[in-house]
Amino acid sequence: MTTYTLPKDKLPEFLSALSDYEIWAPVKKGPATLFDRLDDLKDVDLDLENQPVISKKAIFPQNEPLFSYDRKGTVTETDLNAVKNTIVFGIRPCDARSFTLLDPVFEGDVPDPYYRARRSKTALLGIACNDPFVNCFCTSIGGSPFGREGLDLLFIDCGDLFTLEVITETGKEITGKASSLLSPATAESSEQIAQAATDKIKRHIDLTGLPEKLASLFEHPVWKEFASKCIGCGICTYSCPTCYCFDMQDETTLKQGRRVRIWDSCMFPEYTLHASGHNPRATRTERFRNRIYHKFKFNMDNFHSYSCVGCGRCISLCPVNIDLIDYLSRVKETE
Amino acid sequence: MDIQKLRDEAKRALGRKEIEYLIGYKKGSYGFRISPCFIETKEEVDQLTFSPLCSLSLVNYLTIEGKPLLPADEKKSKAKKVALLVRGCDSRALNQIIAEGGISPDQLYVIGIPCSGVIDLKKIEARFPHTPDPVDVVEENGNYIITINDQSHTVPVDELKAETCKTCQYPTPLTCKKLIGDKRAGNPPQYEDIQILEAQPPEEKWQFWQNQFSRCIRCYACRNSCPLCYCDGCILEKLKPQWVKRSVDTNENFMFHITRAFHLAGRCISCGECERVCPVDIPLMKLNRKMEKDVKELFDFEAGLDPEVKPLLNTFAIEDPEDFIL
Amino acid sequence: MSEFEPNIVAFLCNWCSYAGADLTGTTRTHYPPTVKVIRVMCTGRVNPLFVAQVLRTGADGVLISGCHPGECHYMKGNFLARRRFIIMRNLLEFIGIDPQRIRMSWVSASEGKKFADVITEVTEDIKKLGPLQSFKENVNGHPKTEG
Repeated sequence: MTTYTLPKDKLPEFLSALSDYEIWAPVKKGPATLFDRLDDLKDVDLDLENQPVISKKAIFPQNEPLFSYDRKGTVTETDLNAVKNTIVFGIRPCDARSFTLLDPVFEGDVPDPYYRARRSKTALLGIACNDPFVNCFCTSIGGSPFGREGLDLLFIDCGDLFTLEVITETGKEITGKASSLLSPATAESSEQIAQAATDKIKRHIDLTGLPEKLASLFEHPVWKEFASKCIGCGICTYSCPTCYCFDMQDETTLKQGRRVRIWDSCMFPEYTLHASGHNPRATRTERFRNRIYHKFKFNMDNFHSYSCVGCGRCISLCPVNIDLIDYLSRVKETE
Repeated sequence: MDIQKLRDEAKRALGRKEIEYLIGYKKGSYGFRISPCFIETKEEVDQLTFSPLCSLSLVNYLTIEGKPLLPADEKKSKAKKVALLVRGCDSRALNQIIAEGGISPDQLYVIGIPCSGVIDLKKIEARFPHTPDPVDVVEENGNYIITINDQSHTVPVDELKAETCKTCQYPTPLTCKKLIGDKRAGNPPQYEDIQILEAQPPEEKWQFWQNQFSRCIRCYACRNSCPLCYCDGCILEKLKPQWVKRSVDTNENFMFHITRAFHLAGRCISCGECERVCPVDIPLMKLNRKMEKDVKELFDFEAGLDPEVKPLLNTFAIEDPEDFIL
Repeated sequence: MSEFEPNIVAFLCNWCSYAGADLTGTTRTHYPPTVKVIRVMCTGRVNPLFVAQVLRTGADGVLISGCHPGECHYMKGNFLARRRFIIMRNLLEFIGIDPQRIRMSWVSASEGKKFADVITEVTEDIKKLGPLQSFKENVNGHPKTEG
């Protein structure tokens, strides 16, 4: 594996050397740090913790126009060739891993052209978590704060410089564009920092046997108890890097309209509302149960992985302290 | 406030046979978090707690969909009651909902707690990051004493208290069966930041709100954590007609926030929870307080002071201002 | 460039203002052709969100017009409307929409002349303000207006 070093103060220069690409990064917007298209290099804010708006957006946007039409009968499809080569910079290894979990969903039996167009043109540049956050539990679910899965290039924070690990060919290409700023790293390995970071993770859960356990609990009254304090907002799903549910809606005015694909949340009642008025998941209990089952059972059945990377955002952002780790361990104890 | 008193009162309440369960707060699963809890037996009472970390309004659980106490069986539910802990703002929310006919006061057994203001979780978690173990916080002489792993930290109240609570007018519950602790005096309302924004030209105001609303991801946490947003079938869920489209862009986000703010005009009781739960820090209370200020100035009305007073927009006065009418 | 012609939506109550507007026509009084009239049974029927809705889908201004206070066919619809629109107007002003774009008037069935005056005045005011661009565009700059 090739490694380079990059002085931290040269980061803006590094990013401007990549101006051929469209760059997405955590951006300071008012009091919040959000993941967004980077227009001004000054705005990069490498606050990895507080990102309620996440990198998923770069490849799977919250609203994506599929085509537009007007009363004359003109239909204009979204031009996927216009998708530019993109760099998604400054994501956590768990976020990068989430794309590998989304891939089988969008590129399975019926490949999704919109996802594929962006995914195939996007390079993922991650920053290793030296200091994992309070609700991180990636190590319990197959990830690691220094995980390389899904990434093209891994930045490791080593004081006043970054060590860059080139993981893929795309990563190599990118370092090639900024080679003047990089110097080859000495053979020093990152193993030690990685181990230290892993040791800092305080929350763990053993998920062995969970899908089987869930299979026997579907009708269990425990779900009613679990869901009783849920207030039914969509914060957990909208901030989740592995949630991919969407809705398609026609937005029309008298003379023109468009069909848009929009993120949806299984926590909203209208998510499963039928045209007849019947709602198969009518209450919070059913909706909450579905969220857990989808992530930890159905996804396992269909794609052989959990639909969770252990980023802990749903736990940190929940207004009523619905703690996924806590609930999963209680599921395991339930008879 | 003395937690033991609260637990004793809770025990007494649960001893009454008409009371089904009590809605209170307990320690959360990690760090500074507090979790709402539903207590059915006296044995469980010891998990009850109250501290400046109790931020969410429990009134939400009286009106939430799937609430256990639905008048499905009219005769049966009439005899049953829910006990509930309220702070000053919650009690106003209750009054307002009762005035609107959203809940019957006969179904409630209200235990009031004079509140000294809640801590803004975002502030305290930024101050003490990486705190996985549950924490104790008490307020003493203008300081918060925060005990993390047996280590005490003293932080001045002003640095951590939620902004809305700093100008709370009614910290003591207005209507309740039992009051635990001493009454507290409120502060006069402050609208300076609102007046500054009001004085700006329209373009700048628009720019300000555009910057704020462009961050909105429409997770509706503000709506769901609001004790007054209890409509069965919210306008935002209506598909025919679809008032606010699901696309997340400036136009729709503006429409969403206008709808939200207008529906709370004359109803918001300034608990500030919407702003605290917002993942992208939109200053929602600026909108709510603007409405509160206007309603006070124009109609001399404050929401939730009296369950007998009709809601503002259901009533009128002949002498209402009309200088803008041609 | 041709002069800016505002696009104004007027919600007129069936009993007073709509009849008043009718009278303006039958008496051949001229007023600017800038308004699109929507007849409602009472100003009390006009949901304040209609205002936000028409402004964002293409209108440059809104007018709500009904019976004079005390003359409502339904006794109190116009009083209730008055309260709502003061609040809505203040809210929209706070968000950055000039309050001159949200107007209300009392026009009775006999006030054909007043209706013409109201429309003239509102049109002039909105002409000065220019088109309402800000509320019509989404984040990608695609207009959401009626083309």
